[in-house]
Amino acid sequence: MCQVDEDGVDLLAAGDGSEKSLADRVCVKCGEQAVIHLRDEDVKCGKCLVASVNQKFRAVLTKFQLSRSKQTILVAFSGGQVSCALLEAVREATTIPNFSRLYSVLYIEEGICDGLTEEACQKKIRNIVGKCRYIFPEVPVLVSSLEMVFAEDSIPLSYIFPANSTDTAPLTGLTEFGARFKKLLASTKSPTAREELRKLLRNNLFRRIGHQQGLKTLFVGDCADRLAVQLITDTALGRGKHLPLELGYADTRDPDFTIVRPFKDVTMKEILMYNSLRLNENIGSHAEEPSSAKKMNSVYSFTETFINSLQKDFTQTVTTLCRTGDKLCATSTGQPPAKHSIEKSSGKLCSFCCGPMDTSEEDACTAENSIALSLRLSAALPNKTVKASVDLEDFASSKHSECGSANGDCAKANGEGCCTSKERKTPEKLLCYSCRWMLSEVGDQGLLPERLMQVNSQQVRRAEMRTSIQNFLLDDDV
Amino acid sequence: MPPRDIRVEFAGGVELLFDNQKQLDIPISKFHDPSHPAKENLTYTVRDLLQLLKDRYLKQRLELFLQGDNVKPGILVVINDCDWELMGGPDYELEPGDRVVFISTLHGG
Repeated sequence: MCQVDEDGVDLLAAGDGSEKSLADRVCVKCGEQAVIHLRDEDVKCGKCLVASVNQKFRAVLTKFQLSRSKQTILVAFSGGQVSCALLEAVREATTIPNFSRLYSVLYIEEGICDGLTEEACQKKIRNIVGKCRYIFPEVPVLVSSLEMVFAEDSIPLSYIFPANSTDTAPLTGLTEFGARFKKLLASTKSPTAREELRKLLRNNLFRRIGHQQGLKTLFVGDCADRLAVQLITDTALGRGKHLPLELGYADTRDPDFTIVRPFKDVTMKEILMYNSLRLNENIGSHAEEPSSAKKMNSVYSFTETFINSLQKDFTQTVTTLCRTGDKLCATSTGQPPAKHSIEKSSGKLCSFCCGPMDTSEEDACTAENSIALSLRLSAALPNKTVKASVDLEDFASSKHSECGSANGDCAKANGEGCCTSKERKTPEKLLCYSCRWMLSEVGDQGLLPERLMQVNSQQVRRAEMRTSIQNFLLDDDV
Repeated sequence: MPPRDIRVEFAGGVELLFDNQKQLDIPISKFHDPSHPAKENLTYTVRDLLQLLKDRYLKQRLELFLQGDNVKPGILVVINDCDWELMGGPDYELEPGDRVVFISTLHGG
């Protein structure tokens, strides 16, 4: 339930008086001169801020029993502010006795999405490797590029060894997949769908590289501000059921590869101050940042602007959103990984994003089924006269399809999906709601990576086989 | 840096709005408005600095740096390694030798 924070109201009412008193504040922990104002009474000095960020990072390592891991942990690095802070926190942790020193950095070059040439991409890669070397000289750096998600078998990687050499093996096959990837993005209708597609392919690439290298854990630089925006964006895009995975400390949808967010509770302001105190504050700058105009028209970017504006006047915004997100996680976690693998085998995970399926039973009274009923009614009504009665029960069943044809007159009978269905090759039942929406925004589905489509086809065949032998299967409860 | 100057630095992507310049040394004299010579000895605040940056140094996309007479939400201002909220915000009076850093939080990663 919403509750007015009395302290917050008092501060708002205080007006100018509260700003003057901030200048006199000292660090709440040690009494030294404060350098950062987080919210309300919370001010910290530089040393305490750095210690707090490092401690939050180590707390997550301990929570997931990664502090003494004998396995190498991958650290996703994009060159941005949060990635740099994450790498610095990783380096700091390795200086502590009994903490693991086994880390590798993974950088995925996405210049192809922003229209960069091959030379510009190579230059960017060298800059990124330079940054990694500056922060954590001994860490190996693995480099790949987003279009490699089209690779059928193994993902080509360019390894940079931690020794003094900074030579990179040139990335192979850039041009071959690059052109295809550009066409795929160009055929996608909306900027939101393009962003979602990039995110899906990036996560897919992370998982494949992790499996290929035999690594089980990936750290990503998601901070509290980013996750607050993600909460609203995912809800708007119909990913409500995936929120616990998208916002929690760990994304465990793949039992063999866990994505961990060590900076989940750290705000962007703390990250920036941390970087300016520990690293060169210019470290997170991108030389070729794409024009912000291109970023302004997706659901994520609008939400980000909205939340930043709110945060300025109401400093509790981000923390409240994150606490709300945590509550969503609490009701859904607790399912052991074993259950996920059972669900996977019975086709209850989306074959694109591997998230839990959120489709409803056909007879259930849900918003999704109501929309499906409306679609069928709207399609069929032009064929009927005004006075003809409409049998809702008839329409509620799946005899009628979206094109208005009854009893599978259209291609649905051939198992290809309704003729108006945009998911001809991939029946709707095996994709979650938002993946279905994203797929409908892709102009030419033939351009999607074959491997992704193959996984889906395999699950479709399994589901069909399961249906045909359903009567002979023993229930799990028996 | 000459002792009478204010050092202004840009980070996190803000420099792109200032023709890729990462730092500027602005003499106090630049704040003076020639049409009002009587105001020459007044102190100048961060608000005046923002106005000066907007008038003389900002090369593109004003709306990405300023909102009204204040910085756009999402841009952190650090004065002498300290959060500007602790120094009085836009009303902080600049002194020669101060170092003001504008960092954008919008280009994370």
